[in-house]
Amino acid sequence: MPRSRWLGPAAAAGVLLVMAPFGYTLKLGIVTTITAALMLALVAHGWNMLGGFGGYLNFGMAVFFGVGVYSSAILNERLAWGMWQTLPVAAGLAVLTALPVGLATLRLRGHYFAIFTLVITFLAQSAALNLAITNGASGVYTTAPATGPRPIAALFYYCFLGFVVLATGLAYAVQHSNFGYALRAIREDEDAAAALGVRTTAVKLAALLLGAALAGLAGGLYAFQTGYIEPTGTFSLGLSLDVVLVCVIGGLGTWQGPLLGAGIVVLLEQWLRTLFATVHPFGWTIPIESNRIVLGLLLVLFALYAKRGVAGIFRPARGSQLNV
Amino acid sequence: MGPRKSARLLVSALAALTLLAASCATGDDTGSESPNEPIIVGGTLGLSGDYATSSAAYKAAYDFWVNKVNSEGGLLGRKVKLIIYDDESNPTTAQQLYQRLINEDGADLLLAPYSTQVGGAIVPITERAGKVLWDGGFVSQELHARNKMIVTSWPYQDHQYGRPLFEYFKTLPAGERPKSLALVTAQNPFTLVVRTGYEGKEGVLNYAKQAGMRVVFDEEYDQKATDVTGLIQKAKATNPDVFIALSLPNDGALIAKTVHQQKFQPDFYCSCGSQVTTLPTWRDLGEAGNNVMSTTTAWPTQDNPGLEELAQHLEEKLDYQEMPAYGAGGLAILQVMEQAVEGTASLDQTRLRNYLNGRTFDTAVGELRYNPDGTLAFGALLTQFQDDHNEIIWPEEEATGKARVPLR
Repeated sequence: MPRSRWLGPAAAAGVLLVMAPFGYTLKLGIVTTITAALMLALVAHGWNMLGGFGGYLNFGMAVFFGVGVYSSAILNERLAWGMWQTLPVAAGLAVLTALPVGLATLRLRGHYFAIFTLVITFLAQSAALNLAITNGASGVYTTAPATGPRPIAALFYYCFLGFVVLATGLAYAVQHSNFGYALRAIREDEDAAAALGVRTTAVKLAALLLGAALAGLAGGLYAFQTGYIEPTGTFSLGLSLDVVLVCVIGGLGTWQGPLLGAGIVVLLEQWLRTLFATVHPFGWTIPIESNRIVLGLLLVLFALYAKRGVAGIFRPARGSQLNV
Repeated sequence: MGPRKSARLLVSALAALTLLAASCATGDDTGSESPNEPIIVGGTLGLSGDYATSSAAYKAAYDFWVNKVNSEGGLLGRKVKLIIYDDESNPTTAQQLYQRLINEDGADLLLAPYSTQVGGAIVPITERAGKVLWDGGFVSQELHARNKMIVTSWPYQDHQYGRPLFEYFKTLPAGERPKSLALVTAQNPFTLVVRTGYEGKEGVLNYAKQAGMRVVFDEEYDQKATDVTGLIQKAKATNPDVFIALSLPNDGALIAKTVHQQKFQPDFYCSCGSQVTTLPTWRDLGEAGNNVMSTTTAWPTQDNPGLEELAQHLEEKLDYQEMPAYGAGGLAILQVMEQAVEGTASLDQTRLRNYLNGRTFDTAVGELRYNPDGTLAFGALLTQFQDDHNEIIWPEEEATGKARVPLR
């Protein structure tokens, strides 16, 4: 094997090695910020399977994430299940939710699929508000899986880090597999892909289910991390939009995109939110919602001038790009 | 991406992470201890979004208090720095911001956000961090029962919000007491408890049952609804003596407008969720807001410490014509916090929490005596918005005017 083949894995191992002690060595605030970025990266990896590799715009990731959140929280509250017991159920139920969605919609193309996924987010929120099992608007509390701020922060940092490593490996494998090539063929020209023998609906469905499992897993962890869940925050369209933003900024259809994008979006969001609260140019108060305007502008800039995202800076000629 | 380019990216990441590890590898932020550093009081409010109106009243009260304390030499001889972030009236955003306040800003003392929906979301974070939550922003008997570190300035919790109205009904001659009730409830953790009570006790439905009142209409609605005409038409069709809307500020105003437009005229109309009639926006409703009842904690006529000065401050700075319940509640919790810090001469969270047990505190909402769970003995005022101002109509000893009945 040429020496250059070892450089990538060696550098990846180096990154992990440097990050390994962070849970106990960095300030708590930095640990929780990195954990937030890791959670977003995990959900973004899920979105990237169909959205990035397959080119299908999905605004419904909050639904699969939310199903994971509620599954874990309800099992914990009603049956006193621990965090690790609930995670497979959270991922499984997210997949079961995605299955009928995929079967019903993946024969639709383009805008129709995007609109449907948008609508199911509101449906899910409405269901959670009205069902007895979700405790309606009152929400559900979960028990802390550790005691004390540092052990709790460290636990979730390592959990999310571990799952992000696995998801990144999965994304790398997809990108370099026949499955990934089939998804890219669908993205470039679905009719041509079908004519060449790609079972387009099955491939898209598999990508959606894989993504839903990752989002459900992230949701299951988040339910324990946050300690309290309720419908409006859990099934928030904001999460679905953030995930798309992450992949566009990081790089669509690449295994690096969600990692880079999540770091940039989380840091930028937090910085802007606190900056706007403290800066008063000419005595004028900047509306806090302005952080969404800045992120929206960033999305437009990437769509116009950096269609391959940050990952594309390192890969100028190949891979997917955002088309507007 | 080829292996060389992947490696280039990863090596860049490695370098950045190493730099991060080197620059941030220090101990936890557990608050400022140096006498030269200010005491940091932090919290969030929904300065934008659904709860902006109520949150503005809190912010004004907080600013009033911090200016007053700093002009008098600060707390424990240290200046006070107030950090209030905008949580966008969103529980998830608030959770992120409280993590920041605790872990990055090193807040010494934490103030609660507005609304039970947002507050409930951040309580697990403050509890896990072992921080007292100085709570003028929300009510929840359940949260007090489940958690140890919440301290309220509200002398009535969510399950007791309907009590002032039903106590007022008891003062009416037997023949004039209402016999039927129509009830609409926002889908919100706070208002749902106002309706059903806590562990089968209190709550509007239980009060109605005890009063022998028939509940002829009882429906929930989406708090973010932009049109409630159908809901109000259905309530009107039941022809109740009493109409109660368990709402938050924005939807409460929408319901009042719709009740007026639909010419729904029950004898009594109480917006018995959030204390909406004392908000400056209520007078903008004109005739639609007239004769609507609600509740509050304190009124400037009561001569409570700081209340009159706060009322003047709000009028001068923000042109508030009346004392919003949220302003009084916000100032009261800061007064409790100030007295506890001075009393213990400490910022130690456990000592501060324990200091409250069984003690009384003079505040803008009156003399407060704490129960072991951080709640207070019941006390409330029933208001009615008459023309362009509120009158206190119950309890009789605090009344500033007579109730106008029927509604129109």
